[in-house]
Amino acid sequence: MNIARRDVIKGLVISGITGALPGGLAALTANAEEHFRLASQPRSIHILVAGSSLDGPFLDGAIASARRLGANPSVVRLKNSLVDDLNQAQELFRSRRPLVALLGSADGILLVELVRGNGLRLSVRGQHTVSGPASTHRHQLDTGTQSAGLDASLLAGLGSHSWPVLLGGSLMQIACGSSSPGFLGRRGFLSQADQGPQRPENLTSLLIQG
Amino acid sequence: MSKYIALPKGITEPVFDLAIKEYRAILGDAGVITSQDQLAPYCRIMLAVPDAEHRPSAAITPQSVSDIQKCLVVCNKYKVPVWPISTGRNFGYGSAAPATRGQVVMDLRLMNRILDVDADLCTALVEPGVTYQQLYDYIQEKKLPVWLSVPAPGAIVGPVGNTLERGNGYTPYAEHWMMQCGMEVVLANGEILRTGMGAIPNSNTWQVFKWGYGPVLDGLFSQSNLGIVTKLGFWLMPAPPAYRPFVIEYEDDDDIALIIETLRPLKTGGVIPNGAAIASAMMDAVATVRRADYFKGNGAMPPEIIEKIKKDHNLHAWNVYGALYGTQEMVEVNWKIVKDAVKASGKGTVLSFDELGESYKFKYMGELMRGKPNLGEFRRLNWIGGGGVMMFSPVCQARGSEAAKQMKMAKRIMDKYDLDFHNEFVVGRSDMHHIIGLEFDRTDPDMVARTKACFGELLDEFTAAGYGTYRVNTAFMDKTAELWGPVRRDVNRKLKRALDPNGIIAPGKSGIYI
Repeated sequence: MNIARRDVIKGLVISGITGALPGGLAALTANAEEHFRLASQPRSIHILVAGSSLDGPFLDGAIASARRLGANPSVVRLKNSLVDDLNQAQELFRSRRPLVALLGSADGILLVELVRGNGLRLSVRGQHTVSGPASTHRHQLDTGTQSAGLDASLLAGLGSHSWPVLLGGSLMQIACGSSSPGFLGRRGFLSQADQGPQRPENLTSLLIQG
Repeated sequence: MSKYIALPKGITEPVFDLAIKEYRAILGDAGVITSQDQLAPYCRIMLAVPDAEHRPSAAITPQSVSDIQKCLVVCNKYKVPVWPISTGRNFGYGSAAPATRGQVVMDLRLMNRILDVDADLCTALVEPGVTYQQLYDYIQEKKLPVWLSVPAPGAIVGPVGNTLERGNGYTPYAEHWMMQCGMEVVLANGEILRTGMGAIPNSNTWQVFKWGYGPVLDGLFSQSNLGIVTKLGFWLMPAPPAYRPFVIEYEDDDDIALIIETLRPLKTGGVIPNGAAIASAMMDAVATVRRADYFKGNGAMPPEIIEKIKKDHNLHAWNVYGALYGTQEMVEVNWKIVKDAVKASGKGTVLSFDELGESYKFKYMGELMRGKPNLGEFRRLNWIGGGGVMMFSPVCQARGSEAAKQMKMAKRIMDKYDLDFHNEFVVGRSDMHHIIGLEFDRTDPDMVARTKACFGELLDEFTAAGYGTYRVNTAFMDKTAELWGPVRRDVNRKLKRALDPNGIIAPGKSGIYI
C-alpha cells in the first residue's frame, strides 16, 4: 500500500516507545529470521550528512540499524554545500548504492534534482523544522515504501523526542530491504534530541535508491 | 486502489493502462515511469499549495523527435495530456510538476545534444535537455571565444527552458528571449515546424536572422502550450577583451529612486550594457545568512534585527551589481563615465571587484555577469528553509518614482501578511524585472496560508495598478490569465483549439485550455 504524505502535528507524543539500550547506542528490534537473511547479504549503503546539529543522533540510528541488519554503512560528510560543489553528489550516485541522507534545505533540494536527472528512486523524502524541544518540531513525510507497517513505524518515530535516531534507523531499515516494522528502543539515554537542537534547523531527510 | 499516484483528468484507469502500454512499446520500460518512488522527484514543488494539486500520473522520457511524434499519436488517441519539461528546474515557478494534476510529464532531458556552436557568428543551437553548465563546459573545452548569458540557477537549468520562459541573465545578452533565433517545434498533430529562416530547407541563416517570412511565429511557443520545442537557437556574446564588474553601494533605503534615475541613462546610452541588478540589503542577506540565527519568530523580521544583520555582514541598503565589457580602452572610458555620474548624483560609492573584500554574493554575481554558471542563488533556500519559494515578478519602468511606488505597494501587502520583504530590480533597457522573493516553510501551515494569500493579493493589486508580471508560477497561472482580460484569453483559446484540438499539450500552461 502506498502511503501518501502525512503531516505530523507538533506536540504529538508517542507512547510505548521504551526499551533497552545496549552499549550506549539505541538498538533496532527486528525479526530474528529476517536479520539472519539480511545479514547474509551485506549491502553497502551510503549515509550522507552535511554538518547539521542533529547529524550525531541520525548517524547513531542509521549505523546501529545497518549493523543490526548486516549492512555495510559508509558515512559521507559533505565537505562543502552542494551549492558550491555539486560534483560531490554525482560521485555518490555513480556507485548506485542506496543513500540515506540528512541535509539542509538547499542541499536537499539539489540532491532531489540530481535523483531525477540520474533516473534514481526517491523512496522517502522528509522535511523537518526543528527548534526548541522535540514536542514543537514539525515534520512532513512522503514515502512510497509499499510497507504500511514500516511507514507507520517511521511516522510514529517522528513524534518522539529521539526522532533523529529513529529516523536514521528507519531509513536504513528501508534501504536494507527490511519489510518488518521495527522501533528504536531507548531508556535512560539523554540525547541532544531530548533538549532540542542547539540552533533551529530546517532539514531534509532522503532515502535514494538505484 | 489505483496503481497510479494520479490519473489524467477524465481518463479512467483502464484507458490509462492502454496509453501506458503504448508508451512503453515506443520508449521501452525504462522510458515510462509510473512507480511512486521514481515519480517522487517530479512531484516536488516549492509552491504554497499541496503537492497533490500538481501531481503527475507518469513521466516519459523520449530521446528523439520521432519518439515525441509517436507519443503524441498515443496522447491524441486516448486524450492523455503531456507536460513537456526541458530540465524541469523552473524553481519558484513550478519546478517539474504540471500545472494541473494527472498530466504525464514529458521529460526531454535525454534530448541533450549541443547541435552547433559557431564562434564566428556567435550562435548556438541546442536540444531541450542541454544545461548551461554542459554548454559552458563545451565552450571551455573547445576554447571558443564566446560567453553565455545564464540565469541565477544557471548550472543545472537549460537555455531552452529558460529562454521559452523568458528568463534573464546578467550579461549584455541578459534578455534571453530577445537573443532567441529560430526554433524547431513538434506540433500536437506531429508535424514539425521550424520558425524563422529554418522553414527553408538547407537554410544557413536559421540562427542569424530572427524574422523569416510572414508572421513571426516564435512567440506562440514561449510561455505557451501550442507545441513542443525540440531545438532552440540563440545568440552568444563574443568574449570581450576586458571585463570589469563593479558594485555601487548605497546606504539609505530611500535611495532607490535616485539609483534608478542615475542608472537609467547609463543603461539606455549603452555605458552599462549588462542586466544590472539592484539588490536590497535583505536580498543580499537572504543569500548570506540563516534567518533563524537572528530571529526565531514566524512573522516579519523587526527593523532593528535587519539593521543588525546589515552591520554584522557589512551589507548596504542597496547594492548595484553592474559590469563593463569591451576593449580595455572602452572599459576605462566607461568606468570614468560611471564614476562621474555617481559622483554627480551626490550619493553612492563605486567599487570595482578588486577593491571589494571577500563576499560570497560578489563572487557569484561576478561569475553570473560573465556568463559562468553557478548555484549561488540556491543559498536563499537556507534563509528560512522548509523548501518553499515563490517569485513575484512584476515589470516596472526604469523610473525611480515607479520603483518607489511598487516597493511601497509590495511592502504594505507583505506587512499585512507578516512576511519578510526583500527584492531586487534587474535593469534591462528602460524596463526592470522587479523580483520579490517569498521564501517560506512548507511545514508551517500558517506560513503557507499567509504566503499563498499574499501572493494572490500582490497579483491582484499590482495588475489593477497596471503592473503585469513577466512570469508566474503554475499555481497562479489561471488567475493571472483571468486578470489579463477576456480578449487575450479568448485569442489564446482559439489558437489552442486550432493547433491542439484535443488539448494534449500542457493544458493550463499560462491559463490556456481548449
